[in-house]
Amino acid sequence: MNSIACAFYCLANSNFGKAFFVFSVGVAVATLGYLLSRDSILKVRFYIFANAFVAVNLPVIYFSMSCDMFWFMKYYALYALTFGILLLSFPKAYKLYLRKRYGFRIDDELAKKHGLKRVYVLNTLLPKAFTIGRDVFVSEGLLELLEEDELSAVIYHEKFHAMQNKLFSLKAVKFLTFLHIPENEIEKAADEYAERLVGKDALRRARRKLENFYS
Amino acid sequence: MVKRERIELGEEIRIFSPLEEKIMEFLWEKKEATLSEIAKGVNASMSSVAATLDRLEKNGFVRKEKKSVDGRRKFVFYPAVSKKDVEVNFVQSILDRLIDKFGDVVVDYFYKRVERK
Ligand SMILES: [Zn+2]
Repeated sequence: MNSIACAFYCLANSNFGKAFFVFSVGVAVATLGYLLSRDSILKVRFYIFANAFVAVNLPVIYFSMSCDMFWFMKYYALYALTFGILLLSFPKAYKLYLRKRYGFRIDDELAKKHGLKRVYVLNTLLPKAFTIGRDVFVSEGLLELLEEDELSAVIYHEKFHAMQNKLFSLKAVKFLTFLHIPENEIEKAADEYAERLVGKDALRRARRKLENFYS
Repeated sequence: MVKRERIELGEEIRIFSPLEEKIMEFLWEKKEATLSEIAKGVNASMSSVAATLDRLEKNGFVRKEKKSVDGRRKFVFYPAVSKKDVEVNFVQSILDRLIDKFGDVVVDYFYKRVERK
């Protein structure tokens, strides 16, 4: 028996056979949705579901494997554990670095206005905006550079990233599932999300101002 | 005789980088200014002025305040130290270093100079 045949034999005879089947169908449906959908926000959502199904399927496969031959699952578990720890500790470490490098304050008004849990404002005049996990960071420089609607467009773009990270960090899960989506598709979806909420023009103006600032 | 230019005091004896110096001179002259005014005044890009102002503020040379300028909330920058203070500090740090390095020679020299007057 080769390892693939063994793997299926194990799965079929384990208590998790049904769960494996259900999650696999989930992966297939989500992948199909990803491939077929035209709307880029929907595309990213399907992609996230596909990742989620693969992620929950992994422990199912792991625990149903009693064959010795399925050695690569063991290596995979080791890999997942290492990356899991690294990626879980990254946001905390990076936040600590940001506090030391720039310092920041929490802006409740901005958070409330955009339906976010927390918005951090970095104490730097360089305009910046990014998301770590579910925390959105902007900078004093950005607040100063942009008009209100332009700032909202940028924050909503970041909110889209934060929403993706609601269940788990998308970056982290990509390491585990090996499902890949081009970065620019996610960026496009985030832009579309922002455009729906504040209009195309505001985002375009914001982008132009940022380009001018850094040119 | 030692050639004068061979005596090196080290790069770190300078307080300001060229852009930092331009910005400080501008602020000392204008008393207060916004980021875009400073960038225009010293003829440098917004991003390099912003990064330099960050550093000057962190080191206590510049102070910023949020103010309403033409109906918009903007940062206004002020010099946090006078030019005089910076100069005095600068001279003191040079002399301290000279005395650390050459001790008696420097003290003798000053003694003689004061006597000559
Ligand atoms: Zn983005």
